[in-house]
Amino acid sequence: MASHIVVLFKKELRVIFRDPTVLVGTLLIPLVLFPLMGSAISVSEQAAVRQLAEMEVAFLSLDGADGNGTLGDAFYLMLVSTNVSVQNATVTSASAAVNWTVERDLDTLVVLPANFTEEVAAGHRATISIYQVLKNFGPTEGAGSARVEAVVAAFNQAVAAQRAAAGLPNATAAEALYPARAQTHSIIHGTVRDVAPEIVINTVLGASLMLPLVVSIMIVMSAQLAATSVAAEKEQKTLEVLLTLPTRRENILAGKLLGVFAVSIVGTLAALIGFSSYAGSITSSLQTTDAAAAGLVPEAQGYALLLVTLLLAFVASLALAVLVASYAKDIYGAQSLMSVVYLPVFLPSIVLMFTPVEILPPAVQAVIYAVPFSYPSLAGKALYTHDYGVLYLGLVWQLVFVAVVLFLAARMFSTEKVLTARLSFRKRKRKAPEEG
Amino acid sequence: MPDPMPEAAVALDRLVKVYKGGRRAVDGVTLTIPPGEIYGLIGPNGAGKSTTIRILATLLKPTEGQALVFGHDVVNDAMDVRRIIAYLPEDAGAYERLSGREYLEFCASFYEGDRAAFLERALKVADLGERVDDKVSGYSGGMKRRLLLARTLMTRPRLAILDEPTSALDVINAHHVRRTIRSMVKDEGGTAIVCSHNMLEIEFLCDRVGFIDKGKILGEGTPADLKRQYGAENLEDVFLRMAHHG
Repeated sequence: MASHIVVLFKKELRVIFRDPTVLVGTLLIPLVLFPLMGSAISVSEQAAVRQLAEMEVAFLSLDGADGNGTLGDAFYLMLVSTNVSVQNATVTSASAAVNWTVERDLDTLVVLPANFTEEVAAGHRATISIYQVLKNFGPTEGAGSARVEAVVAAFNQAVAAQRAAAGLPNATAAEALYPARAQTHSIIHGTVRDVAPEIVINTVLGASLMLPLVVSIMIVMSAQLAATSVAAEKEQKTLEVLLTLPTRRENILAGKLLGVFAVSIVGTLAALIGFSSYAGSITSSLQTTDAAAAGLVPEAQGYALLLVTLLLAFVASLALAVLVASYAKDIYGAQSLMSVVYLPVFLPSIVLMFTPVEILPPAVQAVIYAVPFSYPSLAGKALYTHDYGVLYLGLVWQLVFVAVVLFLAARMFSTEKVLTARLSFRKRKRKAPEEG
Repeated sequence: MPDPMPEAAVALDRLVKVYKGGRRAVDGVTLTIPPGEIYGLIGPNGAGKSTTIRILATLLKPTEGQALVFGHDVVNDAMDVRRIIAYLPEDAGAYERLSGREYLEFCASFYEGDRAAFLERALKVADLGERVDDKVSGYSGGMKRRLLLARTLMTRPRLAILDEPTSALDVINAHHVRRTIRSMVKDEGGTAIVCSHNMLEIEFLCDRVGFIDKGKILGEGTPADLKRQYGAENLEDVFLRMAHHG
């Protein structure tokens, strides 16, 4: 009997892997497309960084103040200290400076008004004009003006700090301006860590963002393969001969499930490799910390639960797909019927990607816990929270669900229903199927 | 002490099959096929032919009655039946992404015996030459049918169940298939039940024929006896006269 299962398993692998659409969907897209998408994001980011580094700013000071150490000079030095390339416009008016800037193909023009130092020193507000040249209207073109605005903000802080310190001789400028500061810590598993909470959350986000999505893709892909495998037997008219071969029907089902499972594992690994490259590009800009240093170390128990819930979700989706596809006449029909499986798979994952289940309304929580496909995502989060209680209960529920679905699938294959079952949304006509 | 009756290859006893919705596709069919005979089952569309042979092939369960294949009940001893039969459906297919050889090897794996011998026999029956190592997706209709016939006969089944064996074949391929069936079954002492609409084919292949209509057997006999009995020139006329009188 075991040898029959092996023969059937090998046949499934051959049939599935020789399908070009499976190779493209299972291997090519995850291994090529995801990293390409990630590379595209990296290239864009690098281009933006390069653009910022090569930024050239034209500077015109109409400030009439004489001598060194004027506030206009101070602003100029702050601008230069940001490592932008600053060119002094050799004109005498703002309008002429605009033309001067455009002729030299510079990015940004900064104009200090006349009497800048005098006005600021007197406690009045002076307006620094910033002109940004827009050529291709890309999202990074505003970076020049944003950088100059940051310099203006820094200048304002410096001046304000000096004014505050003048009234408090024992305080530094920063202490005078900011009498109180915040220092945040995170308590993780009862231990205080000198890491800000948002940094810890960003670190976990990098992992928890990826897992539900990859799990959902993996489950849907494997279900699709299983459904196609069954429907293809009907469409290619191979099912009847298969069912008359001297082997138990359970062997045929086992061979199919194992074959699809093996292909799904390969596809999942490809998706994990590809998607981790893509996700790394998205989360690289987030400030993160060393997970181990922050006490975010998954335990063996957590890994074990993740693996088991994942396995059970897999098996459940495969068995459900076989059941559903048995009611289809062909591959197209099977794929249409499979849409009823996708909703319970994707919905919890999308919700759990961004929201912890604990803060959801009770009714939504109940739905999440009722869906057997939610538990791998919950287990992924529990890797860091170490909160396993609900997972063990969920494991029992998953086992029951899998047992029931496998039983129904085996029953379907063991009887003539696998040949005669049809799902029709039209009014049933009283007619015997495929009689001769 | 009289010799015991040889076990029948096929024994159907008041076989009934009712589908959901109440349609009686097979309505009390009783027939016996002795070992070594090629039996033809003829009837119009919807007569109950395919349902009858699918019951024999253990694909469907009878609603009432009994079907035995060499003494094994098709319901209670289904696995024993599958070991000694081979079934060729009318519109059977083979796995498009396997080669002909791989498909034959796959099917041979489930049977006890010399698998190399099975394959050699299959290759002879299929007569595909080098194309046997090409994917089935590249085969013509005739090639696929020869491959499937080879799959059916390669294990020397005690009972070959053939539903429209030359369906959609051209004259040359059909002729090849008929001759192969007759020689393979007769030369090796096998038994076959053949469903066909082609009366010439039935006359060529079959030792006896049974006419079925609306789920009931109207009459049985050798082609010569039936033509004589009904004063008909061919089996088609026999059937029409039988149906008219029935």
